[in-house]
Amino acid sequence: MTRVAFLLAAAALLVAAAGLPAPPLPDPPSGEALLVDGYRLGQARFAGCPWALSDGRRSSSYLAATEEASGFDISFPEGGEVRDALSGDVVEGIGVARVDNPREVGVSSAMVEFAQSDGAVGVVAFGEGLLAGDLCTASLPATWHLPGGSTLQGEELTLRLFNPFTTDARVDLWALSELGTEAAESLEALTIPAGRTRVVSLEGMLAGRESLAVIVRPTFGSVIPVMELDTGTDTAVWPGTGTSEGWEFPVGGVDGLETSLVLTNEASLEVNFLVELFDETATFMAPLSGTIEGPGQVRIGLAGLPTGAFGIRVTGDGPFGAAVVGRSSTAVAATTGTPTNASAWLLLGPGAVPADSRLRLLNAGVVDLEVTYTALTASGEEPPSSVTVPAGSVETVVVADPDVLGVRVAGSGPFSAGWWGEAQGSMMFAGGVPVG
Amino acid sequence: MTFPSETSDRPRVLAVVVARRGDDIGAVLESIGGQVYGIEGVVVVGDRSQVFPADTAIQPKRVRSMSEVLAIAGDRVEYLWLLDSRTTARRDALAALVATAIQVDASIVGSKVLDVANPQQLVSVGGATDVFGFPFSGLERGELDQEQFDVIRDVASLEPASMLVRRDLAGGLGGLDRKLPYVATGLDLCQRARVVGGRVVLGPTSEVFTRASGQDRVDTWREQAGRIRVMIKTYSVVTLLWSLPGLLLVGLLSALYRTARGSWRALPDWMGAWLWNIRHLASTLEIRRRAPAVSLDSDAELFRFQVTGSVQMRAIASDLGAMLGAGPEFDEEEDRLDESPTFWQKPSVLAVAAGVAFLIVLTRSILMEGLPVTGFVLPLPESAWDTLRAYAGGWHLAGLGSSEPMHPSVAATAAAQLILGNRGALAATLLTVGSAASAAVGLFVLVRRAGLGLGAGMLAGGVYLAGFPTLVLAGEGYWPGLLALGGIPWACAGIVAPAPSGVVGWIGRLARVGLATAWSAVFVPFLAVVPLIFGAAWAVASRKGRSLPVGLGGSLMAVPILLPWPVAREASSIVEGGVPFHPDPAWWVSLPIVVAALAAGISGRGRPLNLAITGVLIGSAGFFAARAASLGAGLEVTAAGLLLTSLGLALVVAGAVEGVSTLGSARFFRRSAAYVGVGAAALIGLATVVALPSGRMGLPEDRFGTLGFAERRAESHGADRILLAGPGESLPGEFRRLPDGAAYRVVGGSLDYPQAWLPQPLGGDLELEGALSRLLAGEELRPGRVLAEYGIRWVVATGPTPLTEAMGAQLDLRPLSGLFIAESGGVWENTADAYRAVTDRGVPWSWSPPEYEGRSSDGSVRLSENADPGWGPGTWEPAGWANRVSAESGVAFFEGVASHRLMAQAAAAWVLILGVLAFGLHPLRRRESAG
Repeated sequence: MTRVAFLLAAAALLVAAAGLPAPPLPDPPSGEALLVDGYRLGQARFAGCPWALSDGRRSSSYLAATEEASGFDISFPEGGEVRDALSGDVVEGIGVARVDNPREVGVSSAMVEFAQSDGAVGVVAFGEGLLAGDLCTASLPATWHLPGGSTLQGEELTLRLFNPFTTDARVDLWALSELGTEAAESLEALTIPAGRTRVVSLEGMLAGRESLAVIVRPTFGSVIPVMELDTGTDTAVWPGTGTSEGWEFPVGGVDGLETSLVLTNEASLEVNFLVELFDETATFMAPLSGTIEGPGQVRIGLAGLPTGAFGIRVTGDGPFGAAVVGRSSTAVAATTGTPTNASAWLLLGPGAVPADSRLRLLNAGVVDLEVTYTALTASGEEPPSSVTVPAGSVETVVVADPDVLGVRVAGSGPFSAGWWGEAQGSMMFAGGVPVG
Repeated sequence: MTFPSETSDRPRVLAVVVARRGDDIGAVLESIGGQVYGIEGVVVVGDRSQVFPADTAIQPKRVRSMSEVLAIAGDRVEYLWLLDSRTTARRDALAALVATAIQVDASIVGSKVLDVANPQQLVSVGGATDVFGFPFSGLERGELDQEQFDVIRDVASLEPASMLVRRDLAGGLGGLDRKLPYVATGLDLCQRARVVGGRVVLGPTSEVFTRASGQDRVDTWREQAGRIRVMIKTYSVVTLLWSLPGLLLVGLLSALYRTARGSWRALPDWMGAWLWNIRHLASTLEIRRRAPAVSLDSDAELFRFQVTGSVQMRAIASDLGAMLGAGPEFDEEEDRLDESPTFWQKPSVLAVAAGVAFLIVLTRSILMEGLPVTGFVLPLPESAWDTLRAYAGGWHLAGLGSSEPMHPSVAATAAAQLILGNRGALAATLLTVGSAASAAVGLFVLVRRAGLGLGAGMLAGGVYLAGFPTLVLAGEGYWPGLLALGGIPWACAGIVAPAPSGVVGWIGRLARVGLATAWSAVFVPFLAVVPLIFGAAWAVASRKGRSLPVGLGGSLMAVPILLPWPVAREASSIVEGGVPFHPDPAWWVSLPIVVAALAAGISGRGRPLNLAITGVLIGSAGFFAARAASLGAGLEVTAAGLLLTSLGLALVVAGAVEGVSTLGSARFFRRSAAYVGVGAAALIGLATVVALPSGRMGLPEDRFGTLGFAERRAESHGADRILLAGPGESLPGEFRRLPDGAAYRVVGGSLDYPQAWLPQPLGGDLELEGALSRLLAGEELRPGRVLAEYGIRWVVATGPTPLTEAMGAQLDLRPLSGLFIAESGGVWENTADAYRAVTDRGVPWSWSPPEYEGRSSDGSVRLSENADPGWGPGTWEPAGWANRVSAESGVAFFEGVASHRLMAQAAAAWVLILGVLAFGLHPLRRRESAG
């Protein structure tokens, strides 16, 4: 009897034990913060600026902005060490500080660190045959998309891979063109030593491409890439971005330029997209649709539109990268889109260079917006002005004061903002920093 | 008194009484006076402390040395009759000696020595020795004289109670060595006589009496020292080259064994013997120089009457074999020396040999290379004493610290280290191998006491040591689980053993069960309940109700030793804390176990059945506990469950193997089931060989040995902290998780065992968690600056972790190439100043656990430990999550938690009390038994 009781009790315990599930395993580390696609500008303590050009004929400036008063340091890593460094302060009540690039050595890369507050940085360069610049980078997506390049006759397309960090980085480059995915051993396993910038001349490797996009895939470490297109008469510079299922380009088209929208897809599945265009009169323009091969790129020419001034919203059924490139006989300009819209923006740089600068506000919504813009100068804020941006339209605002370092724009609803400049036949596009 | 006439041709004999200090020599003089054989005279060699009776007929001459004796003897005397002052002799003792000497032409003739209190009981009949001079008489304890030794025999040594020595030989040898104690004196004289070709025999017809002083008399430090001196005097240099180191080792092993048996003087005696010889080496060498030349030939003469091997080692082996084979409680065994010619063929001896061989193979890597550093197998700290200070109400040494008490196993390992002279590696190895040996032997004893055979015991011991539940623990690197193996079988053996006699016996029994339980519980605290569970199951299975209260008593007595750990932590954290085990054996592992359990349960009868069903029940309960993680069971509960499973499995195997012995005329079905059970048990036993190839008891290979780089690269203030991140299983000891699941932990510059368990997180830990989250989110461009606040100079990725990606986007952690730690994902050095303690002036202080030390200065020092007002000296101020105290004294320390300290001291006292009750009552018990 005892043995039966023992065996039954043991059997019950064993059955119960066998039925007990394993403890829930902790979720594997996601590291999602590192995989955030797109910008989180204005929410970072640092910004990487892989491109600024100063030499005897041209000069460049860094525009640093913070929400609160803060010091900042700019360091110039080169050859594995920091060769130069300088500091600045963003004074309370002004919000923006300008620091001219002291290194007249051609193109240089810099790292900007804020001491007390999150901030954002933009770069503008001006000079002989040059008006270029854009925002610096403050986040590190898993892969970088740099659409919009070309290597036609007389063009120089350069990819700069900036590794300001302490760890060597290794990246693979995917080159996508109208011929499909380009194959080249020299695009694989590129090592970028810590504290150095590696320059990849694409026109040498992949000449004659009408549309050449690059996707940078780090396999170890991190880099901050930037694309530089030199047409011989002007230079355009635009940063790498992550991917998003939607992008807005306030500066989609500018009178006098032929604009192309270039989309990239790194996934193996194709992405269907829809392009909506918004002009200053809120005239309805039929959307364009299409497919990005996976992986692949597509260039959409927007030259035949009734107006040259327009904004763009492009959405897809999968993540993709996007950039716009505008060209004229002398000028070339390019910028990336913004993956989000916001109710407040900070535009860095208009007025910082001797050029005609204009803000471009895109209201892709269905409600008219009242937008207030305030110019920020070295002596403080100027009185704010307002403008109404009708639903489904863009509005262009001229920045007349040459002392303006930045413009703070706030609307009654979500919109997107950017700016462009023109001088001596050269042009530049630049995005904005969402701040509210 | 009879004197020979001048014309007598009988050999003339001078009686020489070798007097001990303070002895009354009346009795021996009276014995001499009563001899039928006439003597030339009586001389007493000694100082003036001896008591001379006034009324004796003999008025002996008193001399101080043998040279004076020889001078008195002159050439007329042919023999000296050496008598110990405590000897009395039969009237014909001398006559028999002389007759024997003449008959066999002997140089030395010894008397048969009988107990003066019990004249029928033999004390000595001379005998052989081993090469180390340890006497081997052949007598059993209390052996009666039935004339079984009444034959003239050549012997290696004689007791100096009564010896007839040729006068010329005594002169040639230089007389007696007065520095030697009683037994060694006889050995010395006999050895030296043999070296010069003299014949030494026992004359059994000569009978003398002396007081029996017990077998332990040859283990006193003086006798040990005497044997060493005799060896140096009589052996050739070649023989000394190997025999002296051998004696050193044999003596140490013997001393350790005797210490384990409760003889606290054994080790001091062993050391004292060697120290005495060092002190007297000059005089020993002088005697050796003056003595007739020794040589390999003279060694050969000595070896003729020596037994091979070590008598002490044979005695220990016999003792262990008898203990394992006989079954009763080991502490009830008398010292025994089995001189049976078939000693080495005894099953118990073979069992010991096989067990030792299995253990050596199982632990060979540990024995040769030390323990790997992996999981919870961490090196013992530099200072055992400081660790004990920290344990007793001091500062928790892991992570960012806490006033929370450390795990009790920290104290246990530190205590062992302290006992072994602060040798951490030695202590860790001995603890591990010793625990394994104790586990195997304990399980063997348990099975034997339960009435099962040697084979069942051996197989069960192997399964307990290397069965699948133990291997699960070992495979995860859970070292405390392996250390806990050693105690529980002994506790259960105490529960199973026959009832002791008397109150003292019961007290001792309960104390031993409690002590054995405490041994295991201190490493895996929930094992404290095992005796209760086992006692209850055994009480029902065997229908012996006393098992339950014994088990209950053992469990209750083990609990206080855990203090202050259980009372200072929340119950939920004790039960649920840590990363639990979840054994999930493959079907081919489970199937033999289930078959063996069923077969043993169905086919068994009697004792094998009792043991098997007890094993089935407790094993099942253990398995349930081991898999109860989803019910909230944490590390401690599931580890205890695994060990209980292991114990149950071993008992099932024993029951299954022994089941066939109960078959008798059983029917076919039962017979078949029994043999199936044996087969299944054999398979389970065979599976233990999987633990053999590594030689590490199943422990993983070394993962963190290379973490020593932090110490090698340390600056003058000492090693700084290391942040480890990686998969949880790749981290040493316990770890924490960030909200996104990434595992990490902080260790001091030198990773050691007290850091295996992390305290509950406090302010600093929460701040660090936030900082690391920001770092992984890519929000910290200069994480080094952030980590410097915590004194973290090194960042190590022990495997795939988001940290590696984050390290690719920062500016002040410099990667170190060529360092591989665990499945290394990289090592980074903080380029910012990262000090655990730094003064206002930026001067770093050193971490000297459990204190900080540095250059004294005005102002304060910031200590990167979780804020606690107990830090001092002087006024304490919080520095965020950390501490700020005065730097004027050059030292900063944690004042301690008085209640924790008191409880730790009480726990230590309780261990001593249990030890005394368990082993110190032995004499009382003997007396009680004798009464």
